[in-house]
Amino acid sequence: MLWLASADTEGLLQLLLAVVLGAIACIGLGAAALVVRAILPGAAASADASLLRLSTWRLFLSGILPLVGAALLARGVDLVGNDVVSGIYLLIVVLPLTLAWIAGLLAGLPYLGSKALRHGSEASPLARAALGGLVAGLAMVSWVLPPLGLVLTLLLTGWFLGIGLGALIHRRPRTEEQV
Amino acid sequence: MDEYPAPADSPRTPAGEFPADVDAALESVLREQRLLPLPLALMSRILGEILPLERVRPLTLLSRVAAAAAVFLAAWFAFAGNAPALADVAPSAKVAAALPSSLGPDGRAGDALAAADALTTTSVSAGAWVLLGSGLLLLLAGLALTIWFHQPAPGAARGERT
Repeated sequence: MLWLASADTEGLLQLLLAVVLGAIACIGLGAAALVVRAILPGAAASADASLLRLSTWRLFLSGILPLVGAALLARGVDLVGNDVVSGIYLLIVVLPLTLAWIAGLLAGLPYLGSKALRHGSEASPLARAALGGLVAGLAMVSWVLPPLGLVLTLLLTGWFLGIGLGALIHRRPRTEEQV
Repeated sequence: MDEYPAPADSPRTPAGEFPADVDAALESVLREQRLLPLPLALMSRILGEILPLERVRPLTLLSRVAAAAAVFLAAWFAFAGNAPALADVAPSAKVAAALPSSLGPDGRAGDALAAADALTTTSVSAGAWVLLGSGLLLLLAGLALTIWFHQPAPGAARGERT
């Protein structure tokens, strides 16, 4: 315990506070996804269908390619240095991809939570969504090894984006009940 | 897959189908002969899982290897190609310092500096265009693949995972 006594107490407290706040933020992200699922059941159903329709590799591919493309476009737009081009880029590329990413979170976070629980399919929606957010947040601890963190972030973001793009592109035919 | 005519000397089963292990056997032979490096084989395996290239079964392995090579080349061009070098061109002061002093009177040196500035501006624009083009290409490729993946496969069961 000598090392603890000699450590910077203020630094430890700040680290603890950051961990607690990060955990709350991750759980809050899952809860926010659940709120949007409740408000927009059609979008949630489309995201669920997109997740179930494609294999994992195809979800990765359809998410990571646009993600890398958008990153390259961002560098190019930065080099151009024109406000109009930046505005067009934000409006045409960033906004739709962000919406698709959020749509992917609607299905992806509860799915992650259900996979993390022993009887995930029987757990409550809140437990699945909140735990999914927490699991995704904890996965970001892998940034202690930057290459691993980069790969995991790319996979996780690409997976969410692939789910969301599938949900936005492939709209389910409306049933008689929805009409 | 039967719509592709088979070569006369290709192995065919009595039912008229290509044997399922032709591709595996070909891959095995190539690997034994060390003609297919392991990373490329892994990439071809992954791409084979992703893309429904089995529709062109006689060319499956070739298609996978070509697709893997294309992905590698695109990634190299996007991340490690000349784009950063083009964007990171020397400022005009360095260009001016590198110019020989025997350019003549100030007017001609000014012209040379203006030309160097124009060249620098062109290079930055070229780097930006390379980034914009490759980014747009990847973005559109991803969207096209997403649309393709979500097309209902003919004869596939409803709700089946593809």
